[in-house]
Order: sequence, then structure tokens, then C-alpha cells
Amino acid sequence: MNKLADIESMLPKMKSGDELIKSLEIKPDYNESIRKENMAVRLMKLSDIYNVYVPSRMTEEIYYKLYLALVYSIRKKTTKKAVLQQNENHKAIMAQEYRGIIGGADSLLIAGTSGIGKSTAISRAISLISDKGVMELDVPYSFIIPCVVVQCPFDSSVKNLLLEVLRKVDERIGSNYYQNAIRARATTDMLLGMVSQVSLNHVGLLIIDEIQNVVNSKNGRGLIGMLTQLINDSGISICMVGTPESVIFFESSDYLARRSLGLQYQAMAYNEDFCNICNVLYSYQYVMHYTELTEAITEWIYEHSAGIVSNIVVLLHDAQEIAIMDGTETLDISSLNKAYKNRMALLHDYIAPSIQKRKSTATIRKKADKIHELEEKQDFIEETEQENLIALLVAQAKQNSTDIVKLLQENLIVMEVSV
Amino acid sequence: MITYFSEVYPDELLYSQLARCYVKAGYPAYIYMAEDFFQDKKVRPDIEFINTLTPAALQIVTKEMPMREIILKHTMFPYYGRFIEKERRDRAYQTLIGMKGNYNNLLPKVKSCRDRFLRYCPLCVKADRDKFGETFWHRNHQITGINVCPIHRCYLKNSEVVISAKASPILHHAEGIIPQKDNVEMVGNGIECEVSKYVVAVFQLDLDMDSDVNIGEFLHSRIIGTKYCSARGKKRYMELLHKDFMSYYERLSENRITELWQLQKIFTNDRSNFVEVCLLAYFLKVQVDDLVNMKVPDVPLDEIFDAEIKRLHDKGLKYPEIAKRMGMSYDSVKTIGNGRYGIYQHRKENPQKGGVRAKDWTKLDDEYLPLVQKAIQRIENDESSMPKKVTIIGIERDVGLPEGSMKKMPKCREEIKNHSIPQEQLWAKKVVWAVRKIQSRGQTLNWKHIRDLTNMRNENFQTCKPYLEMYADNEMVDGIKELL
Repeated sequence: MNKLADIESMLPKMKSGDELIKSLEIKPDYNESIRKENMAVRLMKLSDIYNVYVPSRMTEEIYYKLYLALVYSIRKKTTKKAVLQQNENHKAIMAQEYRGIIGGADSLLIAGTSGIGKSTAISRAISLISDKGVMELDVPYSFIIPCVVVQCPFDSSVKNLLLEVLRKVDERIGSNYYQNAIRARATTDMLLGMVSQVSLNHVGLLIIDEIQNVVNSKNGRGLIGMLTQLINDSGISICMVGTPESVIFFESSDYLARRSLGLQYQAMAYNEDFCNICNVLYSYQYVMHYTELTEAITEWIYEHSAGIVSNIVVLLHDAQEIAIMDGTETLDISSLNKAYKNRMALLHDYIAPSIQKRKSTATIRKKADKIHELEEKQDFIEETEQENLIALLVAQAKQNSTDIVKLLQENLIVMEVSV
Repeated sequence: MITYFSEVYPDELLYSQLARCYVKAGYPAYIYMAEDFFQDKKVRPDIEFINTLTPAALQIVTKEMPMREIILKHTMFPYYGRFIEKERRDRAYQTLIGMKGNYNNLLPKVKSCRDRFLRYCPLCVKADRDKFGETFWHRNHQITGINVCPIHRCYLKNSEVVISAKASPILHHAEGIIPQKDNVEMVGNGIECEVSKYVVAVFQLDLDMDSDVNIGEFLHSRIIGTKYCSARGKKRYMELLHKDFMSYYERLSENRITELWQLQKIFTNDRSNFVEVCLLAYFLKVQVDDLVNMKVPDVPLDEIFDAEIKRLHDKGLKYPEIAKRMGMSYDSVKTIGNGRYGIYQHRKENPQKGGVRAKDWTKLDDEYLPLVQKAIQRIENDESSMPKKVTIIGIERDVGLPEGSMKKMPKCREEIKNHSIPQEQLWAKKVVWAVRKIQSRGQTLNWKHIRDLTNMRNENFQTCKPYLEMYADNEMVDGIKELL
């Protein structure tokens, strides 16, 4: 008979070291013979690169943090205060005066640049932690979901988030909380009471993704305030996941900052972890001619991905795709460059290896005029082919006391860069 | 689906457990809990016993312990059913386990002009909150006739929850009703506490469902050898018993036994109120274990007495000497010795006088059995009118017997019982009959026509579907099932 008091023993054992790494990584099967298959087969198999997951220090840290947060939350459920809180939550549902007794468990923020793999890391960590699925108890009869993941609504709506939590719980354990809340036309306060009760009974760790949505929304503070109350009334651990802009939001006041102590990650540095990822991903080659990964290629990949894992994956995948389709069948800097130029054009401003493009100092002209001007310039350059063009322009600028940059822009294609 | 059900506390009422579940499971309103747990969501939750649960709720409620144990340990059944006769107790017990039938008619419920409320002991409440974090409704505190907590020796207090058939259908959980701070009134009266302790001790012990010893018989066997009973053990000195009983319980705040006839009825098994029996047993210094596991001597004392007189007489002693030895009067000893004792007292029939003659029920039972069988056949095979249930009252009317006659005719009763069918089966029979009637009239076969003939509700129609095959062929059954 599974009792609430013994629930901690029902959790999968915490892993560490090599065992953890091995459990976290995902390496699809790869056979060298695939390179001899026809184009269609190789293109299909190429998508396996997206399934590769190489755990990093970030993944390990996230796993430990989430596991400990879950354990802390689970322990709270076995205390006498949890019983007291259940009765208080009922008062909240009945729109009576109530108070938080059980107190918060653990709340943390995991912030990181988009694409570095935090959602994937969290997903891998959750899959390990929730290895045994929903835990069923006999005394009291109940179900406990180790981790519930919800997305912060785009408009930071408190009601929507609360309903989403109920819906997710219903999905996992087959209950009717969402339906009952809708039927009862519950107010936000009632909903908060319900979600507190449901979380206390059924949820170990609540993960709220895309928390940066609170930054640009007028309801943002209200939503965070609600989450604070939820922590106090349910005793569960809450993990918020978002981009670095949410850090700025949480830093704006002490009570918010206190609730968001956690992990912050940037793009990877050029280090052993990065090289390891490149090694693993590069080994998944589906082009006919195999190439070794050299230091030069690794450096090139670093410069052209800005240390962001998702960019590395896109580069390697698209480079191979282009190589297979245009017949070059080689994964080298040339194919990588093609992928970078053709497939990642929109990201250039955010990656731009070694050079950072600055905004133009001259007035921004209309696009159509600019294109027309560019074409005229191109014609002019082709016609004159004068070596002393720049000298002539400099002399003209001195003579007329005009801005040399403007003059150059009128006659040539100019790009301003930071020094 | 039910996804939360709180664990039960020791000596907690099932009603209390359901109330705590309602509070803790996150239901936004009572009706949603009622839909999940009760067959009829509008039913008023039974405080002392159990309502008909949905199959899902039944499975969860009986997960930790079987229903029979729940009835014995978490309802007031031991209070009402301990001292009634075995047959009635068994029927009430089976009715409760099956959650069908009206157990209220089988159990001796006390009717009072005063409202009854759920009660609690302020000190037990404090102890519960310290131990569990919350309090609950204890069974011990709901024993009518006891006003004192046996553990803390303080008076029990009434809550605001009235135990009434007119109360609104809602579950009241103790933690929300009982205040955090409460006055405690200690009892100065020793007898009040002792009685309370005794009654609760009897209440808590396991109920012997197999015991067929009547309480009257048992208590009579316990007054034998005391001043309240004759030497032979046949005659009770009720006046003396009543006088001493009332004097003993003079300081008891609630003693419903005020008249002699009330005490007498306990001995004749016509009165089996739990607390009244316990009061009498306590007065007679019956141990708790003896009262719970009632035993009577295999051979009645009067037979032993009579046998002893005969033995002494056969040995050669004269009646005066025997009378002196036995502590009885000469006349009584002589009457017993001559074998005339009992003839005058126990004559069942006096043919010289008028009045109602006692009937030979065994003979009547045999005589009416074939008539009953024919009546049953007529009812079962009658296709001209809507099918009816085979009931005792119906058969009594059919064969011309007065109502209630079948109580003393076990063979006829058994025959009727063998032919009685569950309600769902009867509905199926009605539906098939209605379909045949509609077809014979040439009307369109639809649900409306069936309902007009049978006056059945949709939900009843749905529950009778599994039985349709017993009365119709597959083709007809498929056609009927498609209707709704």
C-alpha cells in the first residue's frame, strides 16, 4: 500500500556523474553505410541530427536543481501544515477569508538566450525525474504528477494560466478540474484556491515556460504576484523558464528578485563542451564523402553560430542538405558557408562573425530608392573603372566641404563598421 | 473521475470522511462532489449510515477496507443493531452493505421531538488538531443518551449541524464548523463518566453478527441468583429492580427509562435501545466482554431446578425438607414435584372459552403453497397487461390472505422470494411487452411510444438493456437498443 508518508521513496533515484550524462544524452543510431544510400534516403535520415542531444554542464545543473526542487515540494506534502493548508484552500474556493500556512517551497528562474537548449535540457531532466510516470497513492487515494509544464500566456492572463494548469493536470490524471471550474464559472480568486488545492494534492513541480511574456504585458506583475500566492498556498516548487529579458524584469524589485534566484545561461564559450558537441554532431554525416572535423572547422562553426547550439545544428544539417542536393557531397567550410549565407541570412545580424555591423549614420532612405541607387552605382562602377575614384571623391568633398561618407555612399556601396 | 479520497481516521464517521474529501479534493461546489460519489446527486448525505454510492466511488471507498468493515467501524450500525434480533440485524446489515433497501425501517431509530445535532468533545478536537492537523466527527460522540466524553470526562457540545431529514443536501466538515477555541465543561458527576465509559467500550468492541442470543434472555440470565429473580429463575421482581435502578441512576442527566414497563420491555425483547440496555447491564454489573459476547446457559435454570427437586425426591427426601434446602415454599416444591408446574401457566389453548383461535400456520403454509405457485405463474405469464413484480403483498391479495399472513408462512415466502426479480429486469420485461404491443397495433416503434406505455425514464431504460435478451430474440433486442 503506497502511503503519502513514503512518497519520497517512490521517486527515481537521483543520478550523478557518468550515469547521469549517459541517461541524458540522446544519440540516434548511425551507420557509416548510410552514406552509400541514394539521395532520398540520406535526406530523410539527415533529420536525425535534430534528435541528437549532447548534455552539457547546463543540463546537469538543471537536472539537479529540478530534482531537488521536486523533493522539497514532495516533502512539504507530508507535513501537518499541508493538512491545515488544504482546509484553508477550501475557504479560498468558497470565497471566504483564508491565509497561507504551508509557505513556499522552492521557486527559481532559468534564463538563457534563445536557442541554447534550455527547454530541451529541462525536457530531458523532466523525463528522467518523471521516469516512473504519475505516482499513485493508496493512502490517501491520490495521484502525484512529478512535473507539470505550462506556457505563460502571451497576454500574461492570470485566469488563463490557472485554467491551463488545471487542464494539464486533467490530461495527466483524468480528472475533471478544468471542466468543473468552467461549469462553476469560477472567479480568479476561486480558481487560485482550486489550483492551490490541486497543486498541493497532485503536483510536485510546476514549470512555467516563456515567462518573458510578463515583461511586455501590463498584467505581468499581477501574474508574478499570483504565482507568489500560489507558492504560498500550495507549497509546491515553481520553476520559471525564459529569455534574458525576463531577468531584467525580475531584477526590478526585491520581492521579484527573491522569487527568481536561479540559473542564467548565455551562449557557449569556445571550450571543451563546445568542441565535444561539434564532434558528436559532425560525426552524423550523410554526405557521400566523409570529412574529418578539424580545429579550423570547429572555430569556423563557433564564429558562425555564436556558440548557440540550435545554430550549430541548423548549420550542420542545412550544409549537408545543400551538399547532397547540389551534388558536392562534402561537409566542409564551403558547404557550411553556403548554409550560413543562404539559410541563416536572418540571423546574420545576431551572429556576424568577428565583425559587428553598426547602424548607418546617414539618414535611412526608402528601400525602393536605395535599390535603384545601388543599381545605378553598379553601372557607374562598371562604366568608369577609374582607379582614382576615391581620390576624386575626397578632393570633391574637400572642395565642397561635404561629408565624405555621404559622398562615398552616393557613388559606391558603403558599409559602416564598428572599430 | 475521482482523483482524491482522504484516508479515514480512527472512529471516524464515513460521513465525516466524505466531508473531508469534499473539502480537500478541490471541488468548486458540493454538487460536483455529489455527482462523483452519489448515485443520486440530490440525495441528502446520511450522517449515521451510508448513501448509495456510484460504482467508481464504491471502488475507492472500499479500497482500504471492505464495505462490511466500514459499516461496522465507521457508521452507527453497532449502536442501532447490536441488541436487536439476529434476523432483523442481518437484514439491516445486508441492506447497508448493498446500499439498497430501507434500513431505517429495520433499525430501531429513536424518534425525538428535540432536534439532534452532530456533537463533539472540545478536548478531543484539540487532540485531533494536534495529531492530524484537523478534527473530524467521531462516532463515540454521536451516541444518543451519552453526554460525556469517556476519555476527557467533559460534556459533549452540540455543533450547528442538525441531523434531520429536512436538512439541505451538503456535507459539513468538522474542521470548518467547530471553532478553534471552545469552553470546556468538566463533569463533576462520577456515575455520568462511568456510564459513558462503559457504553463507549461496548460500542467500540466488535459486533458478533452470528450471535442469536436475545438481549432479554441474556439479561434475565444475569439476574438469576440476585434479589431481582426468584430462586427457580422464572419470576422477575420488576418493581424492586425498577426502584433500585432509578435510585442508582438518580444523578444521571439523561435516563430515558423512567417507567417500570420500559424496563420490562427490555426483558421481553421489545425494547433494544443501545444505551438503555447498557444502563441496565451496567447496573447488573455485567462486564463489557460478557455483554458483547452474550451467552446464556445451555439448560435453563428452571429445568435444572426442577431436575434437582426430582432428584432429591427420588432420593427419599420429603417435600418440606426439599423446600427448606432449596429455599422455596412447600407449595411450589410440591407442584413441581408432581409435575404440574407449568401446565396452568403455559396453556396455549383453552377450548372451553371463546375468542380468537390460534391458527396452525404450518398447515396453512402447506395448503396455500400450490395456490401461491399458481398465482406466481399467472403473474409471470400474463401478457395481456403490463408485467408486474411478484411481491408478497400482491400474492396475499391474489390468494385471499390477510396482509401480513405470509410472515408466518416460510414456504410460501420462500417461493415468492425465488421468483422475485431485480427492478432492472422488470423494466426489461416491460419494454419487451411494450414493443410487442406497439408492433401488434401497427404503430411506429419509437421511444416515445414505449415511454407512453411503460412510463419509464430514459435512465431506467438504459439500465435494463442487459436483461432484454432474457425476454426477446437478438433481432428485437438490437432494434430496441438502437432506439436510445
